[in-house]
Amino acid sequence: MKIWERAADFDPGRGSPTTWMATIARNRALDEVRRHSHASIEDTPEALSVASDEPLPLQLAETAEDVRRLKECLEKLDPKRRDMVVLAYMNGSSREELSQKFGHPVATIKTWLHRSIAQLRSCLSP
Amino acid sequence: MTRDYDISDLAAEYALGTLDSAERAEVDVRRAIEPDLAAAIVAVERDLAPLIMLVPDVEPPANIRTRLLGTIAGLGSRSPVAPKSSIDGAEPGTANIGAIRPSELLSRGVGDGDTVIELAHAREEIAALRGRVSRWRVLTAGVSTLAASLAGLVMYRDTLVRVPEAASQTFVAVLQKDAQSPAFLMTVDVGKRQFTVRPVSAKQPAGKSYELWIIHDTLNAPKSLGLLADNAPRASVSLAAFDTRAISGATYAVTVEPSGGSPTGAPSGAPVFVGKLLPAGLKAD
Repeated sequence: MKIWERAADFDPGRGSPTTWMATIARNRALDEVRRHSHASIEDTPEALSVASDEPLPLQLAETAEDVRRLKECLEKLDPKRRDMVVLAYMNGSSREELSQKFGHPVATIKTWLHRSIAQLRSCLSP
Repeated sequence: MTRDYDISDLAAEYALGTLDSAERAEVDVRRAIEPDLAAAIVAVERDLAPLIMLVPDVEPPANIRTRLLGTIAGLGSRSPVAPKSSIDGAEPGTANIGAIRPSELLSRGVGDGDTVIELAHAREEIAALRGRVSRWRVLTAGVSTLAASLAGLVMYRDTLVRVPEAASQTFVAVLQKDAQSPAFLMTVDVGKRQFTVRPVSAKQPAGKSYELWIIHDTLNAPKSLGLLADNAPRASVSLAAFDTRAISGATYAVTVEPSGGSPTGAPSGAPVFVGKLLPAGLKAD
């Protein structure tokens, strides 16, 4: 529904429709996960029924360069900080979860995340 | 409080997804009225978006497309108010930290050779990690469904004539700075389109007024719902000017305004309390 409501906002110059839709869906999913911060979806039956269709080659080609650039910039980060960024983005890990996993205070996690994203964005900028 | 963050740091954590529920709700409000913040968020989201393409696809539950089309067309049986998603129905459990190892992820991806083949190969390998990938399954299910359904939705758009009226249903929103500081409790009867606001711990600044706003994508800008007092409830206030989708999906925000309310009809600054509606039986956090 969010994607439907925001269809007019899509700007082809800012990226592919797939990543645009995925970003909206991801934000919606994060809203749900964070709202029910003590819930897990591991036991969601339908979530366990996985079967995928490989993306079309054209779609892969369109995103391959972006992925390559981002991967190269991620690899320039300190390994621990890179892991934090990836776990946060890919796994939806919260600051508290990252704090537990890496054994650092939440305040430190926040600082490292801020600096890591700043470094990433600097690396990605033309 | 998130307003103490530098905008770039706040945008970074919003895009990464590490803010808590109250902070995300506040940013959702602020981005509607702060163009700089909104632009910063979009920029970070755009830079990180390629990572999404490394997430394994998931076949969505069969009934999602039907429910989605039904909702769009106003013909579905699902209530448009706070639909109970699969996430909502999840059992409490331990957070799955490290469900996917970053090193594994980044060792895949694209190389210097045939990028298409390598990326496709990477996706196959990452797919093998599905058993450990948790939260993104539902997300990608939604994305796949929505992407596959988009063409169909276009055809349905012309037939979108009404959103079905919800039966009388009570929802609540805790308007707060954070989970430890509830300021107002908002109770909404979505079916009747009425709300009541009861102060909990709000202390109104001298010479100022609290003003309540409704914020939703379908509204062009935050709309005032009137002033709030810190020592008396407001009862049975009408929301008849808004449809049920906006009422149920909106963010509700309180700002501090000059005595008597905003002189411009728009929020004068960042909200001090925010919240979203939940079914009355659920706890916010």
